[in-house]
Amino acid sequence: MLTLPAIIHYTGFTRLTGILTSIFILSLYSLSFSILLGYLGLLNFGHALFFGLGGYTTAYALNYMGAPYMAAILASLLVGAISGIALSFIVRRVFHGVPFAFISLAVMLIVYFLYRKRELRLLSGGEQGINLVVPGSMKAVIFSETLVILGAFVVASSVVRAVIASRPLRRGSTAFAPLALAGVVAVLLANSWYIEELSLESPALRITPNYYFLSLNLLVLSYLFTKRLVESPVGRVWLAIRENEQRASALGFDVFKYKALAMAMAGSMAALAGSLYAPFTFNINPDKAFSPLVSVYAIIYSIIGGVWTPLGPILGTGFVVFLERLLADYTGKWSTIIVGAVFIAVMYAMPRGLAGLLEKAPRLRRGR
Amino acid sequence: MSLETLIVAIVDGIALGATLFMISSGLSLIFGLMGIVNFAHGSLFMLGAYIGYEVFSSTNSLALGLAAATASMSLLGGTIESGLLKRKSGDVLGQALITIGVMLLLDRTAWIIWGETTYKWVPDSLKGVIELGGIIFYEYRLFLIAFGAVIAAAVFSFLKYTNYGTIIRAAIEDREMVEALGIDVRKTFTITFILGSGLAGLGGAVLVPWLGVYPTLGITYLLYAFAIVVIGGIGSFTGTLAASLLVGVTQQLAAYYVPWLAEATIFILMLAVLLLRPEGLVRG
Amino acid sequence: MRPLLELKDLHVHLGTLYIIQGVNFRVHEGENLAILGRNGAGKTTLLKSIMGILKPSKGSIKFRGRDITGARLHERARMGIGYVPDTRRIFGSLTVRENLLLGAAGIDKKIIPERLEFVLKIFPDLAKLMNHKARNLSGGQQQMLNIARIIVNPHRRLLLVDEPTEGLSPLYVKRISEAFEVLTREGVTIILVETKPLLVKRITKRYVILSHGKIVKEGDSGELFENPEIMRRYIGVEMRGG
Repeated sequence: MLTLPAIIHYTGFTRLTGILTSIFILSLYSLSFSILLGYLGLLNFGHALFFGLGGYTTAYALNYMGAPYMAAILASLLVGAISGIALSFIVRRVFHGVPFAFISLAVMLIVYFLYRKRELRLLSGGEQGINLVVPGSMKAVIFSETLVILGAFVVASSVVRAVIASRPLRRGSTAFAPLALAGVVAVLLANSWYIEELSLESPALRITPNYYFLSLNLLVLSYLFTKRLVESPVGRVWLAIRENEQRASALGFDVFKYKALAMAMAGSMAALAGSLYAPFTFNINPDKAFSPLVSVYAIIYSIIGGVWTPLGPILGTGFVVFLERLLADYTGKWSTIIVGAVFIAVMYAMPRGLAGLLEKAPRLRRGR
Repeated sequence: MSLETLIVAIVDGIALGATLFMISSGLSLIFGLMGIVNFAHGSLFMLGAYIGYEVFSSTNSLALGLAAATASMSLLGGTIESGLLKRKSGDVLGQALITIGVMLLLDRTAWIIWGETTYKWVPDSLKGVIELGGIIFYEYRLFLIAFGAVIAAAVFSFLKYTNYGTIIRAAIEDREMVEALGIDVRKTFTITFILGSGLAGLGGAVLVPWLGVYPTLGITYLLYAFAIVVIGGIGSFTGTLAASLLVGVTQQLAAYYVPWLAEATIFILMLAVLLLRPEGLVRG
Repeated sequence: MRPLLELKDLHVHLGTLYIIQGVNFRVHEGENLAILGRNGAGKTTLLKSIMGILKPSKGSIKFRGRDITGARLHERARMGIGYVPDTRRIFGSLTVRENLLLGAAGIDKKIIPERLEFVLKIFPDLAKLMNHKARNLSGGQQQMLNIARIIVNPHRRLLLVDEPTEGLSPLYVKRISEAFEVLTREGVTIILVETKPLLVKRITKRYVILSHGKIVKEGDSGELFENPEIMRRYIGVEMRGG
């Protein structure tokens, strides 16, 4: 966080805002992926399906129906949740391990290859995809101000809640939450006036800051929601299922329901990310939506960050996206190769991911 | 929609199936024996194709190109197994994830070296067509079928008549029991990887004179191979062979008659097998 | 005399379940041992830990004086321990011959024909099935193959046998118990998990009774017949017809 001013200086403000925004959006996506992998042991090779459905739902709502953006986002959330539940019913008999991974992959690939076909271009826009109408609300000046206030409110209330919550239970995990939130607040305050200055210059420049705040706030909300959920009884049942499914079932838990719930949640969160990403990049096409590479990136972000805590995928996404964009300046085409190498190195050197580094800090302090 | 079209589509499908067998048999053995979903396998197929192309075009020899692709990919596959995967033995999820990283590295490197161009080279001796009963067939595609049959017979003999083959077949069924008989199954891992990777490289190279090599070749054929392994039943030789031909023919028929369903059909087939017959179409 | 096998304070966990809770015993060469107990007492878990399929959480296992607690499965097999699992686990897609040859892995190629002859003498039924796929064999034939596959190897000194006659017809039970008697004469020591008292008496010298992961009683196998109360009390088996 302290290096922020330096990064701003070197990369330029609009670009930095753009990079951060895509980090927030992709973090939502990788967070949804890690809920399934980290808490239920479900490796979803076809996770991009949800992301793509969110993107396309938003495109249909904005372009074909002229719906307000908020309605498009809500529709995406709904479509994501429904498809998560639908996929759960499809895999019902083999809801684990390799069969699940392959079934979800097959479903995604069917959609992907159909969407790429010229014959279905009315639906998909063909290989070029659909160019999205920029939502009117994202051009408005007022939007970012509202979100600054809303964001500050959310952050402030969660700091209070985190402080209250950190007293009794596990010290290690919750003690970090206020720190992270303090950092978020710092970023918010540091950036807000810059952004206001910039967004006054032209409507086109306002779009990025507006997306910055919208996605930041949705990420913070989703993070807090996820964190709360995984620490609740539901999260404990999820972990019990991951550890030993038969035992969880013998204890009287309806394993399918808990898994379907996670799928619905992950599906809607990934669809939300897609719903933000499509208009932010002005376009959605089959390769951005449903391609295996999009699923692969969910895996890379999550594993580098660590899937055992909701913070992990966010750290991983931030790290990878920054690395890739900044390296691209110096190494050009080689940046993805370096990301691949980092990924492999993390697999060996830090099995708990970047989040594992943070875990050590509180432990050391406790050791006094 | 004549009978002629149908026959040509089926012959092309069998030729494609022959290539698909080369990529999927290794994938199936690796998955069946070690439990690793090897995402790097498609990249080896593609790199084999590029290396094959380079040697074809500089030496003008099909045999040399195929040999170079097989040898180099065997070496690379063996290195991946003994250099990277061995250190994670027992952690099949971790191993699968590492192969994802390797896939990214290899695909991207190939893209930097060879770019977006599609490279194609056809041997002079197999450039022509043959007319049989009024239907025209491409010589190279008929060669592919014959070549594929030879390779399938070689793989079958290895599995059936060698010690390693017997151990691999038994370990695919029940690895623990093979070890309980005093056999160190891990020693077969590297050889399986070398064999499977060599086959993938060969399959990629042998496809160059027909379809050429391009940057998305690896991922596309990896996905086909996943479908074949699932449809045929993991670790089953007969199943992989049958599923390769089924997928090849289905893909070609769909491409002729319902082009917009061409690739989707394969994954619909894969999904249907996963849901209705998860152990695959063929047993053992 | 140095014992063939010695377990010292062995504890084994299966996931979160605490199965073997401190087991000690010694088995001397030629002194076949029966492990008795109700279902879930930990008999199979104990055999699997001796074989090396399961890792103990505490304690040690010594075989012929060597500590093998950390040895891997195939290393223990090479040292001379054989495991005959209760669920058979023959290789169904392989032929009977291939199954037997895998069992003979690592032995001198020259003596393989002689060893095949040896097991086919014990189990003549298998002779005409050599080229059949193992999955097409009947239950009794599969069990014979399960045992034959282990004993085809002359280096096995200790056999861990898990309920070998479960669900088999009397004819096969007889065949299998005769096979164990032959093996005992050949100098192989057997640890047998069984519930049939007749078999226990014919094959083993001593017994231990396992309950909730601990040895609760031990003695000479003959005793089980003189005192049927033991079987009823600890195992819930009524003695009928001896």
